[in-house]
Amino acid sequence: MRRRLTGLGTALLLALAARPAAAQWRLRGDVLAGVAPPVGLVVLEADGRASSWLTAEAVVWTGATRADASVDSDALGVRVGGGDGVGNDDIVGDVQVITLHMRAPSGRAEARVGRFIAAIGALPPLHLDGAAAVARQGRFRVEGFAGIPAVPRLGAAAFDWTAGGRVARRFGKEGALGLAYYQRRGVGRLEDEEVGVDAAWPGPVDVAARAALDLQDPIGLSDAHLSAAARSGPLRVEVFVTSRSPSRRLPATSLFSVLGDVPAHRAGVSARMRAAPRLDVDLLASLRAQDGEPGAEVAVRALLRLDDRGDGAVGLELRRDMLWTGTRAFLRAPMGRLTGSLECEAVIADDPHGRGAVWPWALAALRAAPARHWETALALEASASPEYSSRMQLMASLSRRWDVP
Amino acid sequence: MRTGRIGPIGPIGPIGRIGRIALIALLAALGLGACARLLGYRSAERAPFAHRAHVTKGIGCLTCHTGVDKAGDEGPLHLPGTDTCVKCHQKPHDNRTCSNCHGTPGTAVDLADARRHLRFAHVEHLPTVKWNCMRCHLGAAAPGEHLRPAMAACTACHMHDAQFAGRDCDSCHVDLPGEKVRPMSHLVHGPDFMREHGARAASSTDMCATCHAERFCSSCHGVAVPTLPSRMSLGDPLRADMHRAGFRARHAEAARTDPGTCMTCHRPETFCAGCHQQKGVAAGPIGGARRSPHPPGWVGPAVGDNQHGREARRDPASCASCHGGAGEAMCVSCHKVGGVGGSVHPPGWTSTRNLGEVPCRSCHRVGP
Repeated sequence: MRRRLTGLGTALLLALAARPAAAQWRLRGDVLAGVAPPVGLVVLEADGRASSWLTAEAVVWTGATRADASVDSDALGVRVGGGDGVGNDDIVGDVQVITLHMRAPSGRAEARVGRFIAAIGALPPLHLDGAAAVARQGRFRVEGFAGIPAVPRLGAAAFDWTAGGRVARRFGKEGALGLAYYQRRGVGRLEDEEVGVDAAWPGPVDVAARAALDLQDPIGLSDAHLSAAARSGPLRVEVFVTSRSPSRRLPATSLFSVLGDVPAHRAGVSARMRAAPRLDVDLLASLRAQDGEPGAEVAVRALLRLDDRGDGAVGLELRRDMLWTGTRAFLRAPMGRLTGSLECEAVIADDPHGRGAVWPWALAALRAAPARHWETALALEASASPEYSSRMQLMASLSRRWDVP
Repeated sequence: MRTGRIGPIGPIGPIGRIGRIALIALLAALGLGACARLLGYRSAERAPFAHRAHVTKGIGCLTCHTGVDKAGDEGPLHLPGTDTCVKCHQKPHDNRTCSNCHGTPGTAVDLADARRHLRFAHVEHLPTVKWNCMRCHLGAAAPGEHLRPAMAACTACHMHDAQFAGRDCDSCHVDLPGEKVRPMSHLVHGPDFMREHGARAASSTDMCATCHAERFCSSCHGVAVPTLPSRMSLGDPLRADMHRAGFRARHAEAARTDPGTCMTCHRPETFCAGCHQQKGVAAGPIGGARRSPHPPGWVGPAVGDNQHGREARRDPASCASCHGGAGEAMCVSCHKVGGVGGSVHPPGWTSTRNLGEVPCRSCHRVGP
């Protein structure tokens, strides 16, 4: 599997890079490195259009980390070792996306093959190796997918597969109502089986809703979300309600899926106001309830753009969550050919369990575009957290982009 | 005798109170005035170009925008320069370039973006609208300077129902993902966007896909991501990403606040367990190098601080993030049928699951 996917990725990237006559082909390479511990990451992204009906996209990466880095080996997110993230490998890599996307010129049918995210209606998004197809006829849309759930680091598991589909009808210009179903099997056993309903009704009040029903016995609601938003001049207000049953989000093969249904509910309002041409103010307030225990969350965020284009900006965010209080400040300031940025956060946990009263975090960065298609950045990150007393890390990144006209 | 609250410099009477309020209001007004430019309020010297004043004097659009009637979907923008202005304004009040003050800088940028990203030819449209530019450029009649017609101006004539249904945007938009223009109707990227986008995208996946490539979704929802999206864009603190800033420090609090949310993208038994085992906070061999994150009395007789059952029902994923998979044996040792821990099921629990299958068979012995 690994060899096959790697070969496919290499062939696709070569094909992408070797098409000078095609239009809108892009290839981007990113190199990211940190000093604590020595971790490096190379990411290649490519996408382009081979013809009016065929597009391709790929993101592949490889990373290196110290083999004996046991605690901070994920400093850049590069997980060492086997599929479960544990091991002693010092070179890792994976394929995030490889897709070929075919599309009928009329738009009546589409198909994707490769590794991609299947996000269908109210079902949870799935990262899989397989195929998906869409057919549209009039106001109706039928889509389906099937494949093997992606396993990190090109791993594989026997008899894992998933399949699902959705039927939807469009109402008006953007309104829609959809019904979806999927099941997922792990080692041949049924892990997830859900049916979902989604609806959208844009208008003066823009309403969107989705609900997923877990079909595993006993049947019950696993996830539901209702959002209604309205805009009046510079003000946008959204009212929302969510309900989620954590045990139903676990695979049915987990022992923790039989602990019973204790859903978590949340209802609240969020608002965004353009208080001045360059000043946005966001508010969020919500109430939570689970197992008879109430909670609340309040957040305020202000963003001031320092110029008309918003290249420079300064912001402040205050948040009171159920279990912590925090503030985050950020600044992005163009300085000639350089762009400086600073982001700071301080969190005070209600119950730190002796892990320190304040958990600070800060990142200062300088970014530059020394030449066309080139971008580089240097950053210093400092933090103290429950996992370690303090840490400082220097990071550098270099990006190059190739556009083939 | 009149009594009053004693302030720092003496009693504050009604007049003094009014005076203070007036002073504060004056300072606030001065402060706002001083910050007006910073907040984006424009002074008159940088006003939008007075299109309306020119139009009402009978000056045709082509008088200044020479050649735009023959413009295809490539080429210059046909914006007039100072030499065009001085043909009429023969005694300008200032020798500098007219557009330095007359007209806002965003307009030219806006039009340049349109030229680069849209397939549009004035030469094909002007005969249709009988050379009446105002049919599309409604903004020219208003005091503002939003001159680039909204997409609604296009769809007033071009119904595009078939293209819209088939998400065929390429006939007008050269490269919609590369355009990186957020539609006016799409301002959902607020502070709580991560919650809201799921409901919005459920019915509009293909609409999202007209701008967002596959890697955009997979950068968060993918199980094979190289790192956090925010790491890949170092130095961009304005980027709306999941797990920003010091999320790693407070991820346990976030998981407990919103139980079940993590599982939208992560499988606790594989994603969480790897790190938790590395950091020694996962279930492991007795006597091994590990530390328990639980308070004293977490497990044991069902009295006192024994809260693990209730917490497990509230947030089973947190338990599974360390005790999932083979770690379930720890739970089974007490909670198997006949064990000292009793039943893990809630009162009234019924199920038709096969007791011989996972996970039932872990506690229920079937057969001889």
